[in-house]
Amino acid sequence: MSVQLENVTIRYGEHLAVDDLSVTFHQGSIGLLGRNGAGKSSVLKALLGLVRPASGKIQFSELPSDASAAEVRAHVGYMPERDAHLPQATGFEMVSLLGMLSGLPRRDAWRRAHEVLYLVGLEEQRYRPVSGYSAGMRQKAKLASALVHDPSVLFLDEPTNGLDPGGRSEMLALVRQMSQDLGKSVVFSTHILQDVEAVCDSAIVLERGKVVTQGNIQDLTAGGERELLLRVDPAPGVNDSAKKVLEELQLSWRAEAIGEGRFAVWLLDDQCTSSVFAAVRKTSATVRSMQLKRRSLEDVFLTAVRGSEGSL
Amino acid sequence: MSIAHHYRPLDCERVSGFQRIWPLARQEMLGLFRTRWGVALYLVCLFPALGRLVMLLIMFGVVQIGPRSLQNRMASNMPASMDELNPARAAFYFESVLSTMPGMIFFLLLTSVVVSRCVARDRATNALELYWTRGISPWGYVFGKWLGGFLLAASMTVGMPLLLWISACFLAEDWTLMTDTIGQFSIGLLGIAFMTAIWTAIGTLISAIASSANLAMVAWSMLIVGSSAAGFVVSRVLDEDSLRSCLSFWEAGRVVVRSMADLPQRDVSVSGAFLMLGSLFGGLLLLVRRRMRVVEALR
Repeated sequence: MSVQLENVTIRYGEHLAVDDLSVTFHQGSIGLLGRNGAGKSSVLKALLGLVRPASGKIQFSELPSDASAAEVRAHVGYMPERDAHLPQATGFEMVSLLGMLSGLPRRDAWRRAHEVLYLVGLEEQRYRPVSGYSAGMRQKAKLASALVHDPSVLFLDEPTNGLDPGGRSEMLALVRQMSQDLGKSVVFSTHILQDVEAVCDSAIVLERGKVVTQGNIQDLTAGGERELLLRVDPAPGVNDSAKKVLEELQLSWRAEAIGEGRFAVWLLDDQCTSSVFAAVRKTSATVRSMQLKRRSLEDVFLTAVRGSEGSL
Repeated sequence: MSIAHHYRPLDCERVSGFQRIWPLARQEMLGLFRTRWGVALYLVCLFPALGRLVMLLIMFGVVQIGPRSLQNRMASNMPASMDELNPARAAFYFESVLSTMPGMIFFLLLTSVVVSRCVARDRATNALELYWTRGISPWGYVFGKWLGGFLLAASMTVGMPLLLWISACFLAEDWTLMTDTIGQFSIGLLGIAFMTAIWTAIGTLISAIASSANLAMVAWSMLIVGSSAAGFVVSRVLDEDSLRSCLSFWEAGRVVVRSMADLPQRDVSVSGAFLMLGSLFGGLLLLVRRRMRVVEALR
């Protein structure tokens, strides 16, 4: 199932949280990125039917355009960011009750609770009170609760929050399975860009309620400048050899000295490393190593956010 | 990790409306019995009714213990002022619930643990965010919570008088007791059910407003005990007994039930009692409207 937001504007009184947002969440896993207050949570709330947009339209591909919030929530699973559990309830009771509240008959909710708790790896702990679970187990219990009614779309709000490295990688593996093996559309809202790179096919970056960049992660990280790390041995018998190398590099590229005999050079997409090699050789210095650093999602994010600040 | 073997797509008809809310009410109603302390607390709250049951057994001569005067009570014609001790009168069956001591105290004990904490406890663990992003509305959630608390409290306030009355009907020599009391008893029982619904609704609303479960419990206790004390003191100072039913939360309910069942009472203001309960309920409802907004849970 895909979800399309068309010119959606969300206001809280005078505060404009989302400004004329048009975006489509396709099947697969999508990272929703943005700083605090960028509008990520507002988008999730609107998708869940909890907040009514001031204008615009939200359309789920398999639902009628006038679907009620309850109909939408039957197809949507939501994992909140904050630690949340039902007081006194065991993992099984929590997941099955939330399933029943989503409209599952009791027997189906019970069966389903066992299945999803097994799926997230809580089969051994399902009869223990959730209040006694570790942070990682609670995150898994929330994920199981989001899955219990077999939604087509999953909204995961900071699912790796507060997890140790082991728990984090387990959670990321689960999220990957949700989209790859179970065919769910996963919208993954987070601050941790490495998580998005690890599990998502595409990303949407929000800033001040607007999309500043979006696309397939491979395309996003492939475009723009690439950073080349260069280690150079000075030319024998030449004073200030490193300075001369830097000056030569700066004639053609943006370049910086980042240590003794070490330089960072930013290449554009169509520029190849051999021209850098040739430029260094002009100064009689010797290139000892070259490392082309792949553009990370963090670079994409920072560039997009800075760009949006600059355009204001 | 292979998951395909265990994970099956869901294929079932979704239920709607009350069938979604009932599991929540059921969970709330049975939550007390999850621990031994909860079971013990519930049994303690049944003491007043069980005491009355023992009285019945003695009065009908099933057991030969206690003072002879009590055993002979049924035979003698008791004055109307002693209706509350006479099993041939409907008032006998309601006294264990409506009296300030022990009725109010045990009601307070039960509801302060269950009803007054229900929403506030969920808020403290962020459970509202889980509930409200499901297929029920915030008001559906409050209704489910109230229903669970109401059914639990009613098992004490309605169930026990009913049990006592049925026992008395079977213990009596003939069906006269039943035919004489059935009308008044039924209306009185309905009145108690109505008041239990109002009392627990007010307790649930207090819980929905309170920022913590303990605060809700204290506020609920203060409302019941504090208003009773205030009503007592003010009515004495102003020498106006009817003020008690206008100021005391518990007394107001008691007056309403007795008035519905046409049980004898004097120096009370039935309209004042209704006004007191109505304004309290309405005021709380207005306050709760703000706290039940979805954005409250998702902040």
